[in-house]
Amino acid sequence: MTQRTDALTHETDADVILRVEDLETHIEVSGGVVKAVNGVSFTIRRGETVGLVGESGSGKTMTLMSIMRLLPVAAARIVGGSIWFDGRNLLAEPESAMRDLRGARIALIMQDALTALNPVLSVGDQVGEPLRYHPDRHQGSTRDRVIEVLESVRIPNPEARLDQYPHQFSGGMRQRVLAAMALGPAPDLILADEPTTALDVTIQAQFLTLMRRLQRETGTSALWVTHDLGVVAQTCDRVNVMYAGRIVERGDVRRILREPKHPYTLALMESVPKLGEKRERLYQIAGQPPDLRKLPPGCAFYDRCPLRMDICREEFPPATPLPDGGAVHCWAVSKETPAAAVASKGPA
Amino acid sequence: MTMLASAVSARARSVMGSTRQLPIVPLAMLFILVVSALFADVLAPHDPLKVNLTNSLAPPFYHDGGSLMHPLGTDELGRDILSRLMHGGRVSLLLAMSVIFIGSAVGIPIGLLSGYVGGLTDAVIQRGVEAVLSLPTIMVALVFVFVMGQTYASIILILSPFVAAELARMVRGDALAVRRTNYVSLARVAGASHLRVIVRHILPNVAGTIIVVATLQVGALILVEASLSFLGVGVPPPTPAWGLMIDGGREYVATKYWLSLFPGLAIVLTVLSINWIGDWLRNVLDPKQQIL
Amino acid sequence: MTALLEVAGLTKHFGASGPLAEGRAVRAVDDVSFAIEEGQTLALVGESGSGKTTTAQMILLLEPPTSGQIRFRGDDITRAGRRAMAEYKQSVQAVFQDPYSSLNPRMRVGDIIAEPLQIHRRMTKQELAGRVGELLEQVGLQPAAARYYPHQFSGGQRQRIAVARALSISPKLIVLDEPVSALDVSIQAQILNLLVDLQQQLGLSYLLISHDLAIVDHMSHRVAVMYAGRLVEVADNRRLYDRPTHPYTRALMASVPSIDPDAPLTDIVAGEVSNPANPPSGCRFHPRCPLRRELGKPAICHEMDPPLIDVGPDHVSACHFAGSGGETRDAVSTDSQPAAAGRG
Repeated sequence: MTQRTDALTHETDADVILRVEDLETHIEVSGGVVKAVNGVSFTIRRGETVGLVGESGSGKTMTLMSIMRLLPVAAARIVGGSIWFDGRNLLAEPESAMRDLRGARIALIMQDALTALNPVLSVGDQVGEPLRYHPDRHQGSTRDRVIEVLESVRIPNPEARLDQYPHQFSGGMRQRVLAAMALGPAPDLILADEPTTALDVTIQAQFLTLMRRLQRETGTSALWVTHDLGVVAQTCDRVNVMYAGRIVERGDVRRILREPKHPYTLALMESVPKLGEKRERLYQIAGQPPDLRKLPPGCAFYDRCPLRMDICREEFPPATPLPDGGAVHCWAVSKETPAAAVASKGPA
Repeated sequence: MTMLASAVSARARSVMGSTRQLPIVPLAMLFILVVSALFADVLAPHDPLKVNLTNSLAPPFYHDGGSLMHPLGTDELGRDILSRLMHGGRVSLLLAMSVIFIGSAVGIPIGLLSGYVGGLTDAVIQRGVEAVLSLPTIMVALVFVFVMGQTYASIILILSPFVAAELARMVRGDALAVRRTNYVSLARVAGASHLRVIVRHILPNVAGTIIVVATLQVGALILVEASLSFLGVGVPPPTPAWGLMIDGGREYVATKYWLSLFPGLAIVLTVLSINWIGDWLRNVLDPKQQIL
Repeated sequence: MTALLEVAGLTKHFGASGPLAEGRAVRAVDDVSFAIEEGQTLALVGESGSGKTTTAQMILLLEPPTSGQIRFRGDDITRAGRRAMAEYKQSVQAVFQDPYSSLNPRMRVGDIIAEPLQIHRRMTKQELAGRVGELLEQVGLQPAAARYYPHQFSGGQRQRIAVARALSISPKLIVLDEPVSALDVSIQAQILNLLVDLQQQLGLSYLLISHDLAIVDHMSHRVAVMYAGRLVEVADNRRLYDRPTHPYTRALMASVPSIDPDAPLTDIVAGEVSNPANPPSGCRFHPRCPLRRELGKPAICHEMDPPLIDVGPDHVSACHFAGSGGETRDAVSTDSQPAAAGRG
């Protein structure tokens, strides 16, 4: 593959472990086709953590599952785009090649450890499973590697706990077992689907700190799907904000959290109560999330956007590059700062 | 993830051949059977009891020697098989309906009580239900009818507990699940009495299960009744009954197959249609299909 | 002035009856006391195993307390007659976390909202329909919604319906058990605003159960923090957030991931909540307590369960060393928040 340098981000191919280009995933439902992922493009560099932020229906989980080509239902299909992992287009690979990659080079951490772990298999068996399928990914015996990785996720006394079952572990420890399953074969990329959403806040804090340290130590990249902006701030280097199957804004985490440009990003940040900040009312986004079967040709946020214009309904705005290397898709961005417009229109 | 859930059900539907669509074929079959059973008096071409020894063992119309007068042939006493089939169907149907009715009247309240109250009451009731369910239906019915006399009443009386037990078990399971839901707790918080909760909240959410179980039980009952009459302890003769007709044709199976075949086919088609419809009902009434 | 609702020494031990149960009971709630004033919101904050939900269940009379009192306007409900009970039931209603299981899927929305009225009042069909329409409007829905079934509504709308039902018999107190945790972030704001508006319009009191400190900060007047079945700190909202004295409260606040990437998570506590059937001796938090470590593991922490002591005006804390080792440290400083562009 010829060496490319991305005009916006100045990334070269060597820097990038994952490049998603114009990904489209559709799901057949009664009453039509849902464009769950509607033209999504982003990159993940080696060693970095990228966030995929959105609410339910935004397409973030489907994007993640598309990368692994593990779409949860037969009615869902990837219909367009490409997914480049370390130079290979995953969408052109046969299933056997995907099996070699899954667990070994791309790993998955799911949301609810209670349902993600098999209750009748011991923890040692389950953490060892990816290691047994991909023996070339580690040195020494499987058992030793399992103990090693359980130690690294701070499971106390791992040798004794190998033969225990998931129900004998607490919620936080089960989540760490999931992380151990993912990390065992030393993958290049971890896909994490809301791994801390079901955890208590103190346990979540432990988990986030642990993951940050492990990633730094191993240089593993990660795609972190979440709806929690606090988690984004603590884990991600860059962020993509999704709405109705599309990315509406992307950029460096500091920039996005301090100066969001897209009205949806801004509204999202405004509507979340923050510790230590006293307000009479929260900013509320008017209306409801859109019906994904009937998306307009233009921007799906149109109905709820305080800055909407006619063109927004007709055409989805192209990327407006931003100084941090990110971009925003909004027709109004060039006219006035969205923050001022939202503030002047007041809470809905 | 409701989007995905809806996709799953859509997929299931397309794989199973549109399970939400009305199952026309079984409904049609059942319709024919029910109508001919209910209106047997009017629709049957002959008197099912009329003996005519001169025309015994006549073959169905598609054989030499058969005629459209007796389209399905006649039995060893010259009685028209088609008419006997229709009248026999009525017997089966009425019997099944009566048993279901009594079984429901007893079984549903027991199941609701057991599931709602829980604890010791539930344990005691369930042991009783399990005892009944562990009995071999036909054997018990056989003995009972033999001892108590071959009447409609005794047959209905002995078969009802089995239906009641099955319903009690299924309803109890559902009632247990519904009792734990938030909306039931909130109804109690609002001040609803136990009776109100059972009638307005538990029962409607259990109705789906009841309908499906009852439907499937009809099929089972028809088989039981046929078995009983085959064994000679079914409805008292000379009333025609499908099982009895099969028994009557036993000696002639090799040569005059139509005596046993047609009543056998009638049983198969009836039970098949009922089960098909029962399955369809279960799919249609499943609340998980209610998305989007 | 008597508080609207007061609980005193409320305790719930599961599996605690009979001589064989000693030592094996699950001590879900132990000796919890607090008061809710009219028109005010008291938040019960805690993580799993804190006992906050069980406490709410006892207040709603869904679980009988093992011991303790619940006093409504001074009258002890736990020993009340039918009359007082009925009045209590009408005065205290609830909204639960999951909008999908809070509404009977086989009932129309109008009937769901009308049910409390049907139980407690005599109204004609017209009057009922009128009141239901009023309530739907009050929560931001169209009166025509009454004809539809719950599955035809979104999560946020269902939660509004749940609120309308809770309001129907004009209660004085509504127990809100994680009312927005199951909703999308952008919808949470709508529901929270609605709840605050209703409180102002109708003078409602709320018992807010939540694990989300930011929501609690936004909505509550007083906060009670629970850990492993015990109250560990109770104070007015502002005081708690400015001057938390209990190490667990501080740990809780420190664990909330800040939206400022340059304010990483620090001072997080290790370990997990103890087994409720076998809590640690003395203070239940002591095995995880950073303050205890700092102070060289004083014996009193594992010898004596700390009582709630006064640490300030209307501020109690269950720690032997409450207030020491960090009084001057602000748990939540406002300069750790991002400076959002364009905001005044």
